[in-house]
Amino acid sequence: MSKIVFITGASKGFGKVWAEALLKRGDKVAASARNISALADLKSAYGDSILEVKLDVNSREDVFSVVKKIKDNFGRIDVVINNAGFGLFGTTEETSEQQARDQMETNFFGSLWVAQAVLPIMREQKSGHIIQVSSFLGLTTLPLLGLYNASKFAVEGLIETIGSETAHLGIKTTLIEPNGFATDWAGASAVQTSSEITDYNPVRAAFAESGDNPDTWGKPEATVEPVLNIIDSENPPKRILFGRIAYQVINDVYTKRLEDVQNWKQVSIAAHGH
Amino acid sequence: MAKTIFITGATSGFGKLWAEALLKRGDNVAATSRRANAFTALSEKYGDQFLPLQLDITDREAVVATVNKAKEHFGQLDVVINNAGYGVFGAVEEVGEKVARDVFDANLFGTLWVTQAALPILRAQGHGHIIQLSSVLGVWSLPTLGIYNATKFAVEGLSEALASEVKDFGIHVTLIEPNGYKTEFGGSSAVFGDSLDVYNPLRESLGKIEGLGPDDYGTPEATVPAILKLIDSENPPLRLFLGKLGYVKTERVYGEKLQQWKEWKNVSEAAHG
Repeated sequence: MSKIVFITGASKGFGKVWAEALLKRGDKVAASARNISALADLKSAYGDSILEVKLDVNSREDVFSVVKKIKDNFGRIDVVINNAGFGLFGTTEETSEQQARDQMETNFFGSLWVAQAVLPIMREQKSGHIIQVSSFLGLTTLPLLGLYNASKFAVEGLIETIGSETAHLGIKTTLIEPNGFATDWAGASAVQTSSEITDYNPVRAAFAESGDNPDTWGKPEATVEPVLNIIDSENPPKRILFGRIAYQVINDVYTKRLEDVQNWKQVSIAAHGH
Repeated sequence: MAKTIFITGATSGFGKLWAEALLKRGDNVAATSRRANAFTALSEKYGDQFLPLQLDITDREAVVATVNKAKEHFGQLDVVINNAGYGVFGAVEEVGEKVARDVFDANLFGTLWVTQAALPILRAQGHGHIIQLSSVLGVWSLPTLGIYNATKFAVEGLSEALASEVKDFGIHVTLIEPNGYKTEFGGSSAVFGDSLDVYNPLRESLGKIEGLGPDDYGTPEATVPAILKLIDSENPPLRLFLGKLGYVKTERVYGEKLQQWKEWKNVSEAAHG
């Protein structure tokens, strides 16, 4: 049976690739974007199978009315993919208040509003799957990406909790944690902070050098089958890494973190008091 | 040598305990509270050693002015403790927009503004220690605490990245991760979402979850030696659990996560292309 899938940020990157793949195999897709003219090609190819909706996920009210519109149009919502998001590049100190807030607005609060809007529908259906595009930078960090890290760590905590709160209501959650991919995340979609504090120039130089190896970046098209696999799974994973690099990186990070806290374990335990 | 410590949210809980312990051993303390005249007893007792400050940490301009005031008063800032924050209780679906935004303003953005205000001072000194009050719930999550979980996960991501940006300036960053403690966290400091009946069974079963049983709550006073040791350390850790639950549960949670990633590893790798 074909599924009804709602994807945010579907005008480019992963969102568009996945929307197209789902339409191609016969699913119905509600695709939202701030700029829906970028969805005109899918509309002309797939007609009524796609409902394209203009949406800025930063507005909770707009998110709720768009989700209602999608439910009214297709009758139900089986899968939601919280994909809208972008990267803010720059040091913590050089991030302006507006930049910090904008990063959290789209990447975290936008995902929260979408989840809150679909939960009553999925509870009523007694079924549903919330898929959240996180990042391996929701698990580990890089310099110059502190606010992006914060936004993705936050969605990890959020979606993990929703999973524990709604599993008994028939609702599934999956966090997708890609390593770097050749989308325009680090290019046209990126926002940069100021770089006026010269003390940070060595950090910037090291960061620029570290991203230079193209072999570490995945191909967006290759994620199609894995995403379909997750959507079709009876028992989808709560979290899945996308890409060749991520597993080893995270395995090493977790091992190191446990070693580090082990060194202070006696102090930690004594602080319990009984 | 006496240190100078800036600590936010110091009128109750950990903040109050730690401020008093630092003053008692002779350190200088600048302490903030949202309320005016919140520190009269400490001011009387410790005189010039103590600088009481009224501050709403969600006001970025006020934060910058207040951190600078503390620096001017004492001449330096050795340690900044971002302690102010609070818990929100309710299933994610039950938490309204204002409650969600307010707790992020305090727990994440307030911490960020204080950190940003302190960094130029610490860089100029060539040393400093930023201590963030995170939580074990910044590492793993519990039901009905999703928004709070998210704020503390965010502080973890922010602060770990920050540590890698400032280590060459002699600035250390530590995330403190307490398990549950008998503070006002779940009592007078707590904010609640709007209850939906559908989540009542979940709420009623919470006491049975590891981390929320009566013995799982630590005694706040017992954290003092750990904090003093942390502040005095030449090479402080990036993370420090407070309480007996943090290490054991985190080790298990990491193991479970790695196990699931491993089970799906073929799919993960195929996604690279």
